Amino acid sequence: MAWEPDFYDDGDAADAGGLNARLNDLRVWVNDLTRAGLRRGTFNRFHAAQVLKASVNPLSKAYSGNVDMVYNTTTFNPSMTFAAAGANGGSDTAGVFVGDRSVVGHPSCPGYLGGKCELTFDGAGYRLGMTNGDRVAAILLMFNVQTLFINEGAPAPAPPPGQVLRVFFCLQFKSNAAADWRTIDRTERYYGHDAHAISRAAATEKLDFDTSIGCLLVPQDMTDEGFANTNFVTGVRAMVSLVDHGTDAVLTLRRFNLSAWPLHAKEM
Amino acid sequence: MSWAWPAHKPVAGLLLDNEEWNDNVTRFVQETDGGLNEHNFVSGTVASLLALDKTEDDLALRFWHQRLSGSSQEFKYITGWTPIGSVSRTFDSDGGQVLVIWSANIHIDPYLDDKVAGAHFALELDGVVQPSSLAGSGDMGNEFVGDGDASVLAAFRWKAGPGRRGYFPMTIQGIFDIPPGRHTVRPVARFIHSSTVTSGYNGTTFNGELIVLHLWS
Repeated sequence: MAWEPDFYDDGDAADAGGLNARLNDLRVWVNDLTRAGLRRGTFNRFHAAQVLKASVNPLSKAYSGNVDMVYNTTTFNPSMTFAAAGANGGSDTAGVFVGDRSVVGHPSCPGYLGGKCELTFDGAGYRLGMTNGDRVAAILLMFNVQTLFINEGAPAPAPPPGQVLRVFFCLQFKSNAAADWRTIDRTERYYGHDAHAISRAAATEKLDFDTSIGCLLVPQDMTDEGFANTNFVTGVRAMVSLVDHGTDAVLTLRRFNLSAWPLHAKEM
Repeated sequence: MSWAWPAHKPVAGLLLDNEEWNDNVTRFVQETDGGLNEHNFVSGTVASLLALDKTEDDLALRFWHQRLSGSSQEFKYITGWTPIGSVSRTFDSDGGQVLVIWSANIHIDPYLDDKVAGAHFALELDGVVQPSSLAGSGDMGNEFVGDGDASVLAAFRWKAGPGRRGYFPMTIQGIFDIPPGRHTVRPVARFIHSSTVTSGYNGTTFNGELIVLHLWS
């Protein structure tokens, strides 16, 4: 609602008291402007190179990593075997593929990420929720990775119907409330082959397949992990694994990109 | 507000006219009621402005969100576009632009050689499929893509050129201009039918997320 100033009517005394009172009203009004006072687009164009930057908390920024990597000779098996949906943690070292899942990346990858598909936020990180001090409602995560080749390797045991070799990815986040990385369950993705195994001697299947994951990390995700909303999200990363693979399966990945945008926004 | 100038400039020696005063004030009042734009802010102040507790949470963005962890949503093997289970979001808007992102894992049974030729995916806004969000060529032809040398069994069977099948991740998105009012957005799928099968091979999604980000622009 617009401010309705106390206008001067005919006969009003134009004295210092009246003038100062009206100017004070103007001061109060200007100091408490509402969103309705803004023309649409004010914070989305000329004061930001990109739309989402306009909403970024001043303590934060957009995070992104794009690395050209090749896993040409990395053998994923037998060191890595997907065991359980939603499992937390995993191998933290790029190029060491053990356990349920491993961080995407390789030591030979160039770039500032140190070979890992892992982003660390500045300072203490962010508390999610607009009332928790950092004015960050959520963190928008976008991930994609390119698969070059998949080779089943030695003939795998014939899988039962519905179970075939699958390549698995997911996103995880780290909080100062726990020592391990936590999987964002709904980001678990996989692509599956038909029920055919290819021999090691045969040509490797060239896929050039892109896996993409979009996710909004919200305060509820912290609550689901048993964390208080005053705890910080300190980083995010992407994980990879193999499911029901043969003894010498080889997965060759190439470029990946992980981006994170802390958002100043209102969840409706 | 960059163009708000006092209409009447007081001149020394003349009486203050109350109507001129009122008119001067009104011009600034009007500008602060929806006229403030990028010219009113010094470069670099936006970030500090957003950090203030007193600024409204939706000063720049609003979002609606549907999380689908562990959820399996079915889409029917029928002719034409079909919704993906109950994945949908209805919201009220003052108008502007929305960024919609849908990300999930798709299951279209890969064992059905020559029976299911794949599917297209897209976002539907207020009942209208948005072509800019289409995943797949849109071609409804069901000629199969060859698997290559018969002695090398393909790891993936994409089968139909314009469609996709198997188990695979899917992320589609689009930016749409919307008028003020109530809107509904949802992902939809369209199977490419073979000549022999017209029903019975529904697809499903697993996990996923629907994000609607309202941009004040």
